[in-house]
Amino acid sequence: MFVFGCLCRSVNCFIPNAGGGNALWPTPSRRAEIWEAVTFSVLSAFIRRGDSFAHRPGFKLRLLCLLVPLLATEAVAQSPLVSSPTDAATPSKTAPPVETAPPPAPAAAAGIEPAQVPTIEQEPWYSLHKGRKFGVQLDLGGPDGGGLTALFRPYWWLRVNAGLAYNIMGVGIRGGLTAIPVRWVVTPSLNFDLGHYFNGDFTKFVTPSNDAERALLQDTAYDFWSAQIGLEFGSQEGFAFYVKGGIAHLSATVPGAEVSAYMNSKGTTSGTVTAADAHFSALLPCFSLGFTYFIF
Amino acid sequence: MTKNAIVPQAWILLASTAFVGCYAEIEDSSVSYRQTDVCGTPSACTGNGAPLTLDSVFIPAVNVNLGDSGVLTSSESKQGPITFNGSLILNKVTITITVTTPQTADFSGITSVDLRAALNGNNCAQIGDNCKSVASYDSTRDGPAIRTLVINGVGANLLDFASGNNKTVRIIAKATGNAPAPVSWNGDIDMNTAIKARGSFP
Repeated sequence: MFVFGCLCRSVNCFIPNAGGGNALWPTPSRRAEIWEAVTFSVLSAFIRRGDSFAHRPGFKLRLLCLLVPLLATEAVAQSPLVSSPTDAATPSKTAPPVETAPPPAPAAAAGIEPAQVPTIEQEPWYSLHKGRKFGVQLDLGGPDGGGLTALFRPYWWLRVNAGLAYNIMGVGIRGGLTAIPVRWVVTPSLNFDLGHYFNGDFTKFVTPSNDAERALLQDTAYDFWSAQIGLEFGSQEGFAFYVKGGIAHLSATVPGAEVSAYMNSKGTTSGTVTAADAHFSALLPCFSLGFTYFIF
Repeated sequence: MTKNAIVPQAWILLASTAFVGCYAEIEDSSVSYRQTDVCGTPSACTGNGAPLTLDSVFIPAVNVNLGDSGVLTSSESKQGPITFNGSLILNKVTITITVTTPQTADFSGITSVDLRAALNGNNCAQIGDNCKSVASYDSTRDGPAIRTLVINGVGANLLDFASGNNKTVRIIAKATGNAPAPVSWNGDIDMNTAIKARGSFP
């Protein structure tokens, strides 16, 4: 919690100053309500799977993987070092006072009641974003590889990215959408990306046994998409670091001529093999980490 | 349900799918193994319009080497947490007359064909554990055959009948009706299959 609190203060993260809590920074009672809903949904989801599910290998590890991000989010939300304006207004016996109070909002300085200042989430969802809209994103992960993309944020809750993708096997293009349902100190995100690699040289990872196999593996274009959830640390209006994890789907069409040559090279001595185009697909876990920086 | 209650549930749903159902697979819906001169060279298949029964040798047994391509993994196998399995489903078998003396041979006299896959050197005189029916032709159902006889598969996995490093499958054709009318004939056999190989986790 201390680390998260220091990180929050050092990167000037978004802390609304509207009193009484709001959707961006709920009151303690509201946070408890959210956490109760999270806990209930986790437990009920697994209980419905039956007792036998809990005895499957790796169950506890998977459950832990699910709960850690949620616990981290809740822990930050309850951190006294990054306590909400409501918390700051109510002196606590255990928590130290907030070292840096948020600067007064222009509206408050003009004599307007803080509760009247519309926060980002109180604006209609279709309202265009009034902050920085354009930025860049650099990330690295697997199996998608790395990417350098341009960012555009039409709405506060939606980011669009498009750019170049690269992995050791080749280069490609990719684009995607990121939805930010809420803005907290550690902001959760839902991400969907898709792309296309123009070539994929799998011989960098697999040693082919003959020329036909080399031809099959050496020049394989493929498509991919990924759906990931993420946690973003930092300012949504400036620099933010993120980690994401989820699933990725790869698909490729292998030319029939190359499949035929490969099959014939593998000992079909009694005749010849003629194959149509083959289709490769994979659904894999994926992860990525990177940063976003909004410039203007 | 409030928005803030829905968001964590969406996370859980996405995160759960990341840990189940992962796989990698390759499939090809049309891979044809072709052998020429199915009745041998220079010998030929029996003709002369001879009557055929299910005990007759319509064409000699055909040994098809599928090869050791690596994607032909018959039974389920495990390597660590990854489970591999595969299939080679027989779509159809086509026998095409290529040589005939005189040049008038056709399959119009064939009433039915039962194509069988044999195991352990079985002669497939009877259907049993070592002999399964994998494709069939019925002139009433499929229409009369002329120069090409198409025997439709019944969805059998030929890898269940493959043996040896080269995964050899022994195919035996039994037929009823009458053999082609000319004295002798020869042809090519084309075995069309669908390959699927899959590794899944966990």
